[in-house]
Amino acid sequence: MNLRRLAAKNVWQNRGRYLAYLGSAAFSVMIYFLYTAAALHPDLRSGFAGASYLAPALQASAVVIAIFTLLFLLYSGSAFIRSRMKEFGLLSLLGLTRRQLVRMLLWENVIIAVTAVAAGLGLGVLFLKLFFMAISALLQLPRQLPVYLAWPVWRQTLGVFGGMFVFVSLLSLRGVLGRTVIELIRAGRKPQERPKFSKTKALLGTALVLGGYAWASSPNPNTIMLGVVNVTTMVSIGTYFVLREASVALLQGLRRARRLYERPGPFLTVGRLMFKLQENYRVLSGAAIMIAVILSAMGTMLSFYMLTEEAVVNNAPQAIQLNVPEGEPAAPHVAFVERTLAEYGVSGLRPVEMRLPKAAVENYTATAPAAAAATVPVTVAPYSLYTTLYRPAGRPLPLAGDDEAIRVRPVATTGEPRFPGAEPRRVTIGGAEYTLTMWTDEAGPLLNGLEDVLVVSDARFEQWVESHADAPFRTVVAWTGEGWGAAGMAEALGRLRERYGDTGPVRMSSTYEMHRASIAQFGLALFIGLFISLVFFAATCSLLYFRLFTEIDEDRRYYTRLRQLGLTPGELQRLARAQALVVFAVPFVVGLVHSTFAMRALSTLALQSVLHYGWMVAAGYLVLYSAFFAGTFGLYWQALGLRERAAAAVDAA
Amino acid sequence: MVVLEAINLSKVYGGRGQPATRALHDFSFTVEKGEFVGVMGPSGSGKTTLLNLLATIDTPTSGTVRIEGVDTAKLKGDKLARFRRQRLGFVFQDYNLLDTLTLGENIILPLVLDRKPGRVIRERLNDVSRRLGIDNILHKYPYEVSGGQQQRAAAARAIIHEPAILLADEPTGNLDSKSARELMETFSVLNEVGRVTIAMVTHDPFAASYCRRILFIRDGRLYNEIHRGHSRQMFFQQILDVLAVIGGGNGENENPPPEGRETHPATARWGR
Repeated sequence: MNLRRLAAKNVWQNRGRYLAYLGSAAFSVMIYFLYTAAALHPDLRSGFAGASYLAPALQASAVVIAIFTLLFLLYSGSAFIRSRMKEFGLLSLLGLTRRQLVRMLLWENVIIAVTAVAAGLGLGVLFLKLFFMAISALLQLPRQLPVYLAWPVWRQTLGVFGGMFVFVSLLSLRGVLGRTVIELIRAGRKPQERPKFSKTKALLGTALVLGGYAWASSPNPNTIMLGVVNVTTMVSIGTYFVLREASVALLQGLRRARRLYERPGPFLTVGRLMFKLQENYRVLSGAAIMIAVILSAMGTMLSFYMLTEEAVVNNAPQAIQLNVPEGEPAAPHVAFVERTLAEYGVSGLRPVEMRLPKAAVENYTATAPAAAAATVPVTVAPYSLYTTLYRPAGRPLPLAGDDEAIRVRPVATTGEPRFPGAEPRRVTIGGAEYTLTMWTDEAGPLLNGLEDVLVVSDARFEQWVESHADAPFRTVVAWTGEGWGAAGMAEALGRLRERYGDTGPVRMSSTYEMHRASIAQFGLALFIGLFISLVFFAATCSLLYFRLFTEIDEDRRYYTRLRQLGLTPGELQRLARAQALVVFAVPFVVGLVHSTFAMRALSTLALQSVLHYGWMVAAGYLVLYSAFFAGTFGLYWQALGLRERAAAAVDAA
Repeated sequence: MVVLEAINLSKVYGGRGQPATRALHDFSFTVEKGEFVGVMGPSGSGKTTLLNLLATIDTPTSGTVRIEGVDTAKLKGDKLARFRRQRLGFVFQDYNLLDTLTLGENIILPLVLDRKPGRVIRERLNDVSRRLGIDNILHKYPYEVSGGQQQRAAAARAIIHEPAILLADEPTGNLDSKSARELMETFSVLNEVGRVTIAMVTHDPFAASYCRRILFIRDGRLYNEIHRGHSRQMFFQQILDVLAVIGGGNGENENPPPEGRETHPATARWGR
């Protein structure tokens, strides 16, 4: 057997441990490859909205992925070598020279790197078409992007990851070569450290985390904006300190509660966790921070997406709206739109034709009294229209009489109507002046478009229309109702757009198109974010998988001992599951608490609660994470092989 | 009263195309309550196989093991595990203490597993740890104390639940001579004063000389059986005599150390 064969055999023997390592490395290679292919795609450099920032955004995410992968490889590479120190020591003892050891390790690394890169590139090529299809759909490109797979894409991916693997394997070699044979053999026997509680670290960590939380909970949006980087840093460092101290303190407290502690489950779990958490707090706090980042990032993106959707629908409440210029008859247009809608099977919308006079309202802003003399143009509408046109948010305000009016602002601010209080304001229409007690409705516009609508009583409206026939009027036809996204709408609008282009005398606007346009921008951010989150998720999971499998030899000894002492197989499995579960649950719970504060801060910025979007993301994450845990634990339990091994282990003892 | 009964035990390893090895051949013996029995024999004689069968960790190819009249072959899965932890006590060569529990916690483990009330646990722990002379180090972790202390903690764990029999597998194997002597003296006291029934597998003649009776195994069969008289020194000499005959040239006991041995026991252990 030559060294290359020995190396191949080593990799195969350790395949359980290498699997997660290989898997996440291959996954990162794939994502990097896809992003690079998109970033270098010549068709994505121009020709659509946002083209100028797309390539840099993709390139930047590729860099994030690369850095992240490097950190992951560094950590798992060194942990992996550490777990095999004894084996290297033994090989040295048996006469393997340093040179041979180096060559064996290099071969191992070459096998791993080549497998990971090959698998990643293979998967990348496989998913490339799908990836470009998704991008084309998200960016609403007129035609689908052709697959781009030129030499620079390969060169960049191979160069970056090849370099990374060389760097990581050289670093791991240093760890082995720097030790004597005795040190190598003894490295496996790690000195157990009595669980210790450090008050300083606990206080420092708690102060940092609580300080971060307090900052994020500030009611002032400016304070929060200033704190984004600081809070993240504070909480990350704080987590690192507090995770270990808090768990040691908690478990030590539990240990003192005898009634609780001296039952089979807690008795065996508490002591062991104290050691496990103490040894693994770096990994666990790292995983906790990553999970917090994933949850916060996804929660933020989902919130933006949902809020944007809400805002779009709020700000363009009428599914289809035609603004017909004065003097042109509306009837043919109404008929055409009705016919088209029927043709594509769009139903549930009610056409409302209205002829509304224009007026001007004395401007009022509390902050700028100097501008009080200026006026704002408004469209006047009767109260009956106000109460019957579809508006997604806000109940219509009451109108007490003919001397009152409601000014509907064109942009929704809070999603709910606000009552700054009614004040008498002058209205100018057709050269005449009236003073009305005016309320403000900020729940969102009544019609699509950026003009205030002044709602007056039906009687007053009739009177104005009659007595100011010389005032300018606008004719608006709105297809109103909830069904802006009904089936067939996209096709119907496509047909309508052919007639009402962006420039004709008759102007058309629709909720559906506005929605599509904003989704196209956010969709891309969501897409990039989702992929980065996936990389983070894969890394977090494989970090924990790796942790579990690195300690499997020690765990096997532990459970074998317990078995010899007479624990039943069921008890053993429950115990193993509980202990593995804690290793998985701690980072998730910590990450969830962190991200909850991030979502609170976001709620302050968004002027409304987005916590429920955070919960949605967390729930989705939990489902994936639980599935991963179940799978990992299954593999782990199988690898422990307690049923068959118990007898053999006693023989060996 | 018979505590342990082994009837015609046989164990064959291998099969399925591999050459079968007969580790134990029609082996029968009984242990009475309060006895201190040693099992000796050269490497590969079937000692460990026998102990594994008695410990219910392994099942015999044929034959029966009865502990307090219970046929252990009839117990399966959870029942077997529960029987093991309630009626048997173990002391292993490498102590088998859990590193993550203090000595005190290791000792009370069998009682905790059986959900005994805290008061009982406390009483028994006080009693047992005082008898074994480790009551002042109960709060320490295994890696913080010496091998002898660890093994005494393991012995305390093995008897705290008052098992039918204490099974010891080379208990002095990892100990220096002073610790080995102390441990064997403790075993003697437990046996004579505490009426603990002990079955011990060893190939250390010095440790074996503390037993009241010794069974010698060779090639899976009972080779000889000797009883201790009044003098332990004479018994030690008797053991050496039997070993000299049984030895079979494996080198294990060719130069038996004199009483009060200077040889580190580990040096005699390479053949194992």
